[in-house]
Amino acid sequence: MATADPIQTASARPRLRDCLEGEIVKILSAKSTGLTIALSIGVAVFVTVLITVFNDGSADPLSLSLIGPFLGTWLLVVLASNVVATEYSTGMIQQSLAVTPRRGRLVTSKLLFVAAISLLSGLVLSFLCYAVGQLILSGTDRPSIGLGDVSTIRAVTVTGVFTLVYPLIAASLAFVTRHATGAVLLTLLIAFFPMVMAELGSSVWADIAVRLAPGGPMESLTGQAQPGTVGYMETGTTVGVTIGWLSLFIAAAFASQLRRDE
Amino acid sequence: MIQTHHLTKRYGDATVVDDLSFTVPNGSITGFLGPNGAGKSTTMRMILGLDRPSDGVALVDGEKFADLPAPSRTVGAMLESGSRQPRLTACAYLAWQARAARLPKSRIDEVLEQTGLGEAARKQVRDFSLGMRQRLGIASALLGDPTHLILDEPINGLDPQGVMWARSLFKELANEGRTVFISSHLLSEMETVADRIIVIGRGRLIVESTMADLHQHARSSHTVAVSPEPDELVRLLERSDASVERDSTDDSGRTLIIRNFSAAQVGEIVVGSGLPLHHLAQVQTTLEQAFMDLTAGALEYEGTEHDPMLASVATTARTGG
Repeated sequence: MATADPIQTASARPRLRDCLEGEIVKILSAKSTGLTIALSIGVAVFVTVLITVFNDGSADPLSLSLIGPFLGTWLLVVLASNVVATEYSTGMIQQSLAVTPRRGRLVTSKLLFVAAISLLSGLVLSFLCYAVGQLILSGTDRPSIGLGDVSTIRAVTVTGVFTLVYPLIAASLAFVTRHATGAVLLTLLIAFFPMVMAELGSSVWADIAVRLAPGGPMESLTGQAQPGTVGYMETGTTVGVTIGWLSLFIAAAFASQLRRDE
Repeated sequence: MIQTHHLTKRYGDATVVDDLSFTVPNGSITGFLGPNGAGKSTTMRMILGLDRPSDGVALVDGEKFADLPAPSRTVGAMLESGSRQPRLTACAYLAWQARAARLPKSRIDEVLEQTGLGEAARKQVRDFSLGMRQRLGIASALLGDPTHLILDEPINGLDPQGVMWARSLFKELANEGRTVFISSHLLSEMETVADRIIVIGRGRLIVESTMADLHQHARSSHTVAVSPEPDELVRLLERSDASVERDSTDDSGRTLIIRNFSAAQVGEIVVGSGLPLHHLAQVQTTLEQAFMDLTAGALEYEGTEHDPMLASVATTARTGG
């Protein structure tokens, strides 16, 4: 039987790292996790192939390869929402908190997992789609672009890294809504509402919406928005906007989890 | 030791747990009893920090659950049988807990064997019967080899063999010095296993007692007499200082309940009077009846308005038990 030996207890005290490892085991044990990631990669590659094959050669070869990863991101958004919301729909949150009663630690672990899996999947998505797209272009004697160019590496890498933004927002919203569908729909709304309004609204609104929406910094960071264009922002500002949005949603997740009953 | 001090939980205007104070001592099996909706699960959830008390505090070894340095090694909890991800295997279900609680991997196989789930380790939880899910819940609670166990309705859904197994397991755990706190809405489940019971109704403490005290209370008996001339019989018995009341369940008013005289004494009084007597019997109160009496006013869906009575055993228990 366990005793209250202080030395043994100190060495057995669970840490954030243990909680994170527990979450990794829990989430990766569910077959749906691997399936969703595979589906995300499959959709991204399939879309890239379609767009590249049917393109008449007039589009920028790099831009062609970055559309697929953006679509693949939305399956990662579904995964991120499920990672959190399944806890509530199955009642598993009770057992999770019985094992890790420090709620902040559990929220941190889940968000770290979502960030890590999205980052990793995002990088795989963007480099794979880039490779497939350029392979098709060069194979059909159309202009392609190599990775030797620093701006190309930057665009592909940033696209991959930026993939974690929407899944993190979705996971945070899932802590607030405790519902996967709700979290996904809200994330879609947050992503697309500013763009739709930018198309329909005034030029001032369009200017603000495009620049300051959570997805706004991506074009500037990848180098696709150039100085002087509507969506362009300095690197410092883009990083600030991205961190600002993420902080807001993550703070909402913590506030929700720390205050409510299970 | 698990203690609650003035524990209260309110949801809007509804008070689910009301000023509840009790102690669950080490090395004992304490049954936590009450009708459905009495507030047992909410109380357990507050002990585990899942629900926040509106007032009061729940402590395990003097600390709040969330402040324990190694929670899983101190408290093993089994909550509702449904609170498991159905697509995980039994092994994976225990593996993430072992990892998160920083427990040795070897404990997974140990508790699976201990709970008879060794051969089902690779089966998904959704394919488990209710009894197997209960066993998995108990396995999960035992994973950290904890000093305290909090088990919410652990016997529900177990087959007779499983019930026997669970009872002997709980006894073994208590004999090892652990604190075993088990909720149930059936006294019969606790009768053979618990050393102590805490009975609540409508969120309030009704009884905190040793099982021995409750048995003592249940041993009380009364006499039932049925006569076609009940008024005469009442007068006759009251002249002999008998405490007589009419049985409220008999609409004819012919059935009398005599608290302080045995059937033999009542027979001796009546025999000389010539009054007709259709039935005379000594009625022993069963433990189940004692429990039903104690919780009579605390049923969730009962319409009548009266507070749960504080029976004599409660007073006895608080002063001496």
